[in-house]
Formats: sequence, C-alpha cells, structure tokens
Amino acid sequence: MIGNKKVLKEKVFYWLLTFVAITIAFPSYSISSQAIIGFALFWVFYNSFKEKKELLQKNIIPFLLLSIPFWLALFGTIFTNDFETALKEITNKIPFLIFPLTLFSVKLQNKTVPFITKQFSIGVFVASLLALMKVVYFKVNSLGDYYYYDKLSILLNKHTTYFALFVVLSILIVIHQLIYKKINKKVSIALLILFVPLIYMLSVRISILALLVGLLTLLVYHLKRKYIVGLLVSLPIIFGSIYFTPNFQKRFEKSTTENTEINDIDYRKLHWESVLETISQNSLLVGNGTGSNRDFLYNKYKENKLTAAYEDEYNAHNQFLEIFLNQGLIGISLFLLLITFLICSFIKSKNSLALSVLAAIIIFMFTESILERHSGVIVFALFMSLFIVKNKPSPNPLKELIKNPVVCLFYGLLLGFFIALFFYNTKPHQNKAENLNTIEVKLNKKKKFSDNFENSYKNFWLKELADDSRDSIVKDPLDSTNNVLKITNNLEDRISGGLRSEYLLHSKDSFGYKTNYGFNFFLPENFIKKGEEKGWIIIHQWHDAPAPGFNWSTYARKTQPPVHLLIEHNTNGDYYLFFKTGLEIGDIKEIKIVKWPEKMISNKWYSFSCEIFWSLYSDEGYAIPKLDDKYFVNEISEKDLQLSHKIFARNMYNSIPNYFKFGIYRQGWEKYNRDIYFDDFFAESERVK
Amino acid sequence: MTNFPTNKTILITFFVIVSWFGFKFINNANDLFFQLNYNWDKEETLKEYGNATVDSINYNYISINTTSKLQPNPKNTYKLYNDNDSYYFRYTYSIIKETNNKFYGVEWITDIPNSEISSYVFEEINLDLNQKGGVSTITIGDNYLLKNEAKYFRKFLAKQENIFFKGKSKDIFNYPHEAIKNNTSKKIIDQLECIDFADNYILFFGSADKAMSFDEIKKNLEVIIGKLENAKKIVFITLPPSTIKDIDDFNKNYNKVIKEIAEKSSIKIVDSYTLFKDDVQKYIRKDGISLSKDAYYLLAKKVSENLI
Repeated sequence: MIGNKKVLKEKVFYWLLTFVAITIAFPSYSISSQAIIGFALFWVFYNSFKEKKELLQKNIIPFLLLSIPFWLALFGTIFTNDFETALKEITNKIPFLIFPLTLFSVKLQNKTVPFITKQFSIGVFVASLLALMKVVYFKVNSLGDYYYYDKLSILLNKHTTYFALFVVLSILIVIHQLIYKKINKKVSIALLILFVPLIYMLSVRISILALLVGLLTLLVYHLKRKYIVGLLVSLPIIFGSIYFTPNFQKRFEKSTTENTEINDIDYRKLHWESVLETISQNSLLVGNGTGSNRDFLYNKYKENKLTAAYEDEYNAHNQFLEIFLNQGLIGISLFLLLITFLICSFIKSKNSLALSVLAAIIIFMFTESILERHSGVIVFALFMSLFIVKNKPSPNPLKELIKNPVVCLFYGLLLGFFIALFFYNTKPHQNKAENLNTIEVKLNKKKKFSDNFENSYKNFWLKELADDSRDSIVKDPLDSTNNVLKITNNLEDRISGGLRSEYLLHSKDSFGYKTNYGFNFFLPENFIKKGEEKGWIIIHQWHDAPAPGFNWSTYARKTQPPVHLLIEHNTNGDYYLFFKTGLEIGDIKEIKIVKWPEKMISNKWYSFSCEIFWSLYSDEGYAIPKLDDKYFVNEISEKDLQLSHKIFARNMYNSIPNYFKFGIYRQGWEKYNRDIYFDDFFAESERVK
Repeated sequence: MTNFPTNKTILITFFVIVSWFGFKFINNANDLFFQLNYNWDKEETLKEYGNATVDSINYNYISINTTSKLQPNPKNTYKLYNDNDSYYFRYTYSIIKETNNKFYGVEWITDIPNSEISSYVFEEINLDLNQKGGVSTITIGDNYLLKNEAKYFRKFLAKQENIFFKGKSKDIFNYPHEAIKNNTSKKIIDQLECIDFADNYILFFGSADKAMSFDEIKKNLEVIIGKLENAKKIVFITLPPSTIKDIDDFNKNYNKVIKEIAEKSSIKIVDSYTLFKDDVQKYIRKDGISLSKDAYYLLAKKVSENLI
C-alpha cells in the first residue's frame, strides 16, 4: 500500500514536471505559470522535509549559484526607485528559486533529463503544428498570410525570438537523442522536418548563429577528429547559405531612426551605446536597481534618434548589459560566475547536450535580454537545474572553480571586459554630458525681445530706411499718453532694390524653434487711399536668407518670404489683409493664404500675433496667425481645419534662420507716400525640437 | 523501472492541451483577427474594373492604375486578386486623376499585397460585417466620432458590448453610424428626423458649435434629448480637454451645458474631460484636439459600463 502510494506520488510528480516542460511553448504564459505553481505545490508534499533539507545541503552551492538571478533581483530592490515594478521583476524571476529548490531537494530518476527534454521538444512540435494549422486555415480561406516572422508570432502567441530559441533547443535535443539512440528515428525525422523550416519561417537571425554554435558544440563531442574538421568547414557554409536566403535578408532591411535609415549593425551599436552611457551614469557597484525608472536610457534612445526604441521603451537587448544596468558590478560578476560555473560543470561532466544548450542560450543573450521574459526564465532555470542536478555532485564546486587558473583567467577576462566598458563610457560621457547640458541650457533658454517704443527704440533693431527722417517715436494718434513708432515710406525710398522702409530683427530662430510674437499696427489716413491701381503692401514679413555659402547675388534664385502679412488694395479703395506662409521658389509653389474677413480701415489700432514653428518639412512647420485675438478664416484644407487654425507649411528654404521685419515694402508704381505706426512689439522663441 | 508518465498519459495530456487552446482560439478569434467578423460567404461583386496595376503601396495607402476612370465609394470594400492571392481593403478618401486612383487611410482587411507583384484584377465588392450583438445602438456626432482614431471607438465598443450598430454611413471597419464631419447640434436636430430608431444612442459632438451662443446650444441639446426620449439609454460624451486654450475653455463651458441638461433628464454622461485631463499627452493627439487610440479605448470602456 505504502509502495503504491509512493509510486503514485512519483507518477504525479513526473507528470507535473512533464506538464511544465510541455506547456513552455504553448500560447500565453498563464498555463505555463499554473503548471509551475502546481508542480511547486506538489513538491511540498512529495518527500519529507528532512530529505529535502539533506539533499539541498548537499547541493547548496549549485542551488545558490543557479538562483543568482532571483537573488540579484531581490538585492536590486534595495536601490530601486520603483518598488512596484521591482516586485513584478522578482515575481518574474521566481522560477530561478523554484526549479533549483525543487529539483535539488528530491531524488530524480536517472532518465529524467532525456525524458523531460524530449517532452519539451514534442511540446514545441505540437505548439508549432497548432500554429501552422491556423496559418493554413487563414491562407486557404484568403484571410491573410501568416507564414513569416511577426505575423507567425501572432498565431504562435509567443515572441518570435523566444519561440526560435525553443526550436533551436529542440533541434539540439533531438540530435543528441538521435546520437544516443534515445529517440525513435522516425519520430526524430518528423520533428526535424518541422523544426528546420520553422527556423526559416521565424526568420530570427541570431537563431542561425545559436544553432550553428550549439550543433558544433554538440557534435564535437561525438565525432572523430577527421569529421570535426569537415564539420567546422561545412556547417558554417550551410548555415551561411540559409542566412542569406531572401526571408532572412528581408529581416536585414534597414532600421528606421527618426530621420534616416541605418543598417541593423549600426542600429544595434547605437542601441548598446545608449545602454552603456546609461550604465556609466549609474553606480558602478550596484547599478540602477531592479525595476528602476529608465528615463535616462529612453532619453538616450531619443537623443540617438532610435524612434522604435524610445517609443516602445526597449530593454538593453543584451542579457549581460541588462544585469549590469540593473545590479551593477555585483550583478554582472555574480551572473558571470553562474555562467562560468555552468560551463565548467558541463565540460567536466562531458555533458554535450547541456553545453550545447547553454552555448545556444548564451548566443541568444547577446542580442536579447532573454531572462527578462517568462519564456526565457523558465527555459534557462528548468534546463540548467536539470542538467546540474544530474551531474555528479562535487563536494565544493566553488573551491574547484577558484583553484583552476584557466577558469580564474576566463572569469577575470570576462569581468575585466565589463569593467573596462564602464570606464570607457564614463569618461567621454562626462564630457559629453557637460556639453549636452550646455546645449540644453542654450536650447531651453527662451529668447525674448520686446519694445514698447516709449522713449526710443531698442538697440536690437536694424533698419532699412532711406534716411533718419523715415522713423520716429511719436505720440499715439488715439492716446496722447502713449508713444509709438512711426515709419514713413516715400516713393523715392528705394533700398536694396525695393521700395521699402523696414525695421529688422535677427532673432536667429532656425528649424526646431517655436516663435510667439506680435505687435500692434495703426494705418493712418494717408495709408488708406482711393483712386490707386490695384496693389499690395507688405507690412510685416519673415525674410529668408540665401542658402549657406551664397549671398543674394550668387544665389540668383527668386524666393517669396516664407511668412508675410500683406495688405492688398483695389481700385475702389478697399484694403484687405492677408497672411501668407509657405515656400515659393522655382516650381515649388506652396504658399498658403488666409484672408482677414473684414476690410481694413484707417485710424484704428490692430493687434497682430502669431505662433510659428520653423521647419524644413511641410507636415511639421506651421503658423497660427491672429488679429485682435481672433483666428483668420482658415479652411484651406481638411488638415488645416482639423488642426485648428494651424496652417501647416514648411517655412524655411534652408537652415539659415529667417529674420523678422515690419514697416512698409511695396510695389514701385504706387502713387502716394505712406506712413504706418507700430507699438508693443514682442517675440519669444525657444527650441522645442 | 521508471515512474514517468506513460505514452498514453502524454498523449491524453497533449490532447487536452491542444483541445483547450483550440477551443480558446475559436472562442477569441473574432476579437484577435478582425477579418473573421466579415461575412465572407456573402461577398458580392458590385463592379468589375478588370486588370489593374499597383504602383505604390503601404500599410495605409495604395495607388492603383486602372484601364478606366473609377468612381469609388468609401462605403464599399475593394478587392485585388490574382491566381494565387486575394487582398481586400477599405479606405477613408481617394484622389482620382484619370486612370490613377490613390486611396488614403486604407485599412487592409486581410493582408497587404506583396509590393513586388503589381498586376491584379480589381473589383468593388460588398462585404458585410457580422455584428454579433442584439441591442441596437446608433452613434451620433461630429468629427470626434468620425475622424482620425475615432474609427476604433465602435470597434472597441463592439468587442465589449452585446450591441449592433445602425446608421446610414459606414466607417472604415464597416460599422454603421450617424457621425458627420463638422456636425453641429443644430444640424443634428434635422438629422434626427431621418435616423432609425435604436435601443441606445451615443452622442459625442459640440466641437463644431463654436459659432453658436451657449443659450442656443442649450436649446438645441434639449430638443435633441427630447427627440430621443423613447430610447432605452442615451449616453452623452462630453468634450475632451484641449491643449489649445481657446478650445479648452469652450469645451469646459460646453460640458457645463451638457451636465445641466443631464441633471434634468435620464441621460448618462461619460465625462471625457475628466477622464483625459490628467494625462493629456497620452489621450490627446499632437494637434491638441483629436483623441488618441488609447482615449477611444477608454471611452469605449466607460460607455460600455454606462450601457449595462
């Protein structure tokens, strides 16, 4: 009776362990998590606590080493600034506690590793078949093509990189079992027939390298030396040819940053540079803390124009950097200790499968933070615990490691590499940070100009006037307590090839600047005249400058001011105000016009204001003009309407800032001298992009 | 002797797992794969345009050259096919110049055609949407129920509620509605004369009422609510915050009017202003006025709670 109970207990225990392995590859995480919880709960009653304690004591060093990622997450909470996220991280890492604890405190049967790994492979096979059935259903019914990469991942309901990891590990397991004749040949062929094309369909590039390294590691143990040389030559060629198939190459298409396309290697480089700069900002010893705010990193992505990275808040995409970021030198040294321990243990025990699986996972870790997701955590924690527990126990594995000079050198080199990375990035970064700060101060500093022309005009004005008599500070025609600027333009006032009298301001607002400005203007009776031919008078404009390296004579191209406020008059003596913005040069005719609905009248002060975002791009640059705090009529395009009086138009011909002008600029055939009054000018600008 | 699970046990385990996931997939597929919501069995060809050449394509745009000039209709669905594949799309607006047809705001129903293949046969078809719900609902409004990300509002709401939409217009996903560009409360009074009866009405407008006085707006809203008195439920969505001060001020005042009317009637209010004001960056798009996809998701959720 007691024997039966024990057998039943064992059967349930192994079934639960099998269930954990099978469900790893299936869609969503909930069933896999429930399987782990079920397994852990059953373990509590599986054997006596005394036995558990004895067995765990024997394996205490491997247990502590294998659970390092969990302890690191826990340790990192001391320094975290986001305790809630840190708790989630700890929960995510619990399998690093559960699997070593449960598997090191029970007596596992000899064939546990081949059995569980085989069931894992079959689980991957069945999960793949399930997804492929859905793929075929959609294709046959013309409901979409879900064969490759991200579309396939929708039907797998798993991230393609992690599913590719499962497939790579399954291939290694099947080949290993084939070598040791632990699997039926027909079954293994059926599995491989699905897995190999699946690797192609998943199109995860790192999986090719991981499979290559894993296979080489596996086969080196089992082939005669003469075959090994052949293998070392042939395998890279085979894998290289798969790598260069169109589907994989499609995945090599250039990545998009904010304003350009860069190749994948450059994108990764920029990504990791951002991570390393962030690491160098943290404490070297303990890092940023588990789950801590990563705004600095995301800002770095933004600075490096890695659009997708900052929008989707990418992690480090490298497991080693991820740990260095979170738990600093303490974290990375302990994690490297774990990796070194695993490598040495597997080499010592000549466990080719364990070594090849570890090699494949490490390769994945170079481009993905594998242990940040449930799938990666379970695979790593379960497999490594199983492989270690079936190794011959060593009385003190840590001591053995320390005594081995090769291991010490290997470990020291790895650790030295990461420390060097930290210091390499710290020094230039500090300079860079200082520079950036300086730039930011400059960028964020608002430039302000204002002039109420009370006693005189401010010294930031430049003038394009025929002589000193053309401008003067005079009494406001409607309020004798106020002084205003009067500008006169007589018919003989030809300056720089035009009939003009204007004040100029170089506010130096280039692209990326937003300018808010305004002024009051008054049209005296000698401005509104009847009996003149149809004509126009520009009373304000932002004037463009020739392209860099040119002056107006060498530039020799006719442009329209990108922003201008213009009064048009007809033969009846009706005066209308127009605001125009956009570029006009050669075949480019993009000027957008809005008209003030009422006629302009004399002896009235008008208050004009405008917000402009300066840009070289038509979907970005805009102007929002107002007269007397009301928007101009504005229904030029659907987009304008939708965007509430913002008139979208590019407003820079080149990178040289446009400059502000007001006064009078008009056609040469006009009949009358004219005056205009200005008051209360203001302009504020700042770089916003 | 080992106590590992037998092959039979493993087989049963796999059978149960596969059945469970299969069942789960069938149950949730309509939400995950929107194309399964269309009535493919009753696909009906309305016009055949013959051979067409695709000269440019992306996820929300297609330019097609046809042999004759088209007069496309955004209420219908369009199909491109060759011997191997069929692709279906709906669009928001088009620009037709002779035989070149540019479709904008495209929503691909199944898949995006391979850009390397350009020759297809082109058809205009009728492809009905299978609405699963039983409670008829009409969405009446202005740009907030029509433009930009508004397309997701009915889609999200249909996912959450046992409702089917009615209306003379159809959105990009083929959900019927009664939203009109720049619709005003005044126009809605007339519009209601020719709107079908429904169990529920969802109202979201006001942004185009700026030219009216608040007294006039109040009168209009009272007339609208009065005309819908036989409805089981009326949900009125208030105007959202705006990053543009003038618009924000107007919206706040408009919302006061809505709330005053709601106090005197049985209509339910979903206060989008309060919902979005604390995270404007997330819920209001860069133009400072229109709502983000996240905003419509939250709105659908809140409206759904009020329809229960």
